[in-house]
Amino acid sequence: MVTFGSYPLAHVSDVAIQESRIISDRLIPGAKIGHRRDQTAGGRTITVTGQIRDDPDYVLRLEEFRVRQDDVIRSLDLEDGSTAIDAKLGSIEAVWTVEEGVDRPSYSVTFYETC
Amino acid sequence: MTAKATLNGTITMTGGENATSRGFEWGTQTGVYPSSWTENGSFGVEAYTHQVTGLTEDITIFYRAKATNSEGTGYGAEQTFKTWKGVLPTDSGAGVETPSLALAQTFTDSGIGAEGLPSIGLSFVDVGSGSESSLDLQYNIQPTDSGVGSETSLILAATLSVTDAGSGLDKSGFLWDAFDSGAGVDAVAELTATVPITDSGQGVETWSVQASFTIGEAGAGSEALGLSVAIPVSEAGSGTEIVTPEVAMLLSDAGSGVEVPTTTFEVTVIDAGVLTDTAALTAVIPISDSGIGAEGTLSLAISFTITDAGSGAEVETTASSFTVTDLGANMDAASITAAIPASDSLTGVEALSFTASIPATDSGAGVDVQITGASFTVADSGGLFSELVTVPGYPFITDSGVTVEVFSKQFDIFEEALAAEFAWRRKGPVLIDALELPHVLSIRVTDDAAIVDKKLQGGLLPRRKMIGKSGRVVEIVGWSDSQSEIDALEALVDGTARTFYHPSGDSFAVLVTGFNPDQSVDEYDRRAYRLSLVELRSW
Repeated sequence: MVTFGSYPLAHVSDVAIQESRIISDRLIPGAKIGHRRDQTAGGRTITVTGQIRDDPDYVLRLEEFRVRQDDVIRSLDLEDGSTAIDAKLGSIEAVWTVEEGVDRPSYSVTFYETC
Repeated sequence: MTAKATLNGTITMTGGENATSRGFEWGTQTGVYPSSWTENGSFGVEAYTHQVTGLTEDITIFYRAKATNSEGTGYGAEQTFKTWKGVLPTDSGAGVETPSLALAQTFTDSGIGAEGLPSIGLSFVDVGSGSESSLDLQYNIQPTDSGVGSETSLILAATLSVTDAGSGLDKSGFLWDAFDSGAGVDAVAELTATVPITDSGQGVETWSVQASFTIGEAGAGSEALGLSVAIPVSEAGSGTEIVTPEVAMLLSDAGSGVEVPTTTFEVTVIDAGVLTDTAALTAVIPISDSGIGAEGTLSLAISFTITDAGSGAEVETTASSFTVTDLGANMDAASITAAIPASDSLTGVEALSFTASIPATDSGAGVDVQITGASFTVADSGGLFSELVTVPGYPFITDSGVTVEVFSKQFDIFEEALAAEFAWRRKGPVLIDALELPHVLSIRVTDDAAIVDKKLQGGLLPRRKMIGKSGRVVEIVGWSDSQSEIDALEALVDGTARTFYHPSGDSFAVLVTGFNPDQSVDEYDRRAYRLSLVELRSW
């Protein structure tokens, strides 16, 4: 189970990880290519997608996400054997559809790796 | 009186030379044939007949066939039969007498081939005083050759007519008893026919009995005619199944004129003053054999309960329509229930269920309801299971004061995704202030935290810091088939702070920032729309 600190995320269906590096460009007039320099890591952006179901307190579950948008670093354990990631919770998206009904919102939360 | 009979014979072989004569010889003692008949000619292997008249009644005749060629005369085996005995009727004065006549016929097995076909024709003509001497009576005996042994099947058809003859017994035909009731048509006794059913393996064995009755008007007094056919039903696997129908016809005396049996079902509610009026209708319809398994029945029950609202008739029912008349300051109610299950038909719609209960709330001047019709479209789910569609009721009734309120509702079964919407609506509406958003299909709530990066030179990771939250953003997608609803949604985009109510019970202050309806409509005149909201912070 995917956890953020001690908080378990319900019914995770997908985890997407985006890695980036910060690279600076210095243009050299007349040269074919400029000077590029890797400066630092951009930090990973992790998006976890899932669904809240079989839980009558689905509104509370979403509130539990929102209270963790508090600029506090927590350990994000994806339980895939990789090292846990220190991250902060960024954006939260919840979607209700007629097919799934009011009791089964799907969610998507984005974590930002940080130090 | 004398009798007559038709003798039948067959030349089965000629030995290569046709017979020059053929005939019959007969008598009243075995082996003794004082009487004979012969015809000359050239006869091969073929059947022939001869009618014998002037026979004594009620006597056994012994006879044999014969044929002759140059080699001599050949004889068939001796056969026997018994001649009929007629019974003269007793003169009853004016009117046609109808005697009782007991008939018995025994078939003697002739081996291969159908036994002979006897017929009897007797007619009686009323000669006023004095006995009539003939009776119109015909019946056919048609045995089917069963090979060895006597044939026993019998087909009997009879048409019965009763004519009032004033005083004295009215006769209606063969083997019937009538009871004189003085003036008027006398009751006719039962006609019983028993036809054995031979199991044919799969499929329902069927048989029918037909009888026609003509009853002459007799003035005062009810003529009663009852016809009932009871055939028990039992599942016998591959054996004989039989069906139970019941038909009862009662005649109500209508004074002068012929009474007519009631064969249709009618439901009429009659005002009983201050008492509750009720009416009920039940029909049981057996179905045909389905092979293996007991045949079930379709049952249709419609019951109407009307709450008395004072004087005057409350409800008159015709088919599935109700008309409730406002009777002042009392509660009027009407309901209808019909359940029509069906067996699986693999492809095609299997089942339909319709339940509508429309209670009315009295508001002083009275709220009245009229159902003007309902239509159903059921999508076939194929397979081997029954579909069952239940249509929810929408009791949208607006009181118009002293006039009769009416509403009609057409129930359309939409595709599955939209059908789920109705369940969602019953869970809780989606509101902006007091305005319910029409036909919401999805709600997306996004809550973003603003995070800035501080890159560290040579560092592996940036330092990220959340500097705040901008508030939730809501995107709502739905549809409407009403221009007034579209106009009401568009009017929300006016910069006014409002409250958004989520069907989960959550609510928060918002500003409506955008409303985008589709420009075109679909085949149901539905137009999709998109509504955008942003959360407002209280200061």
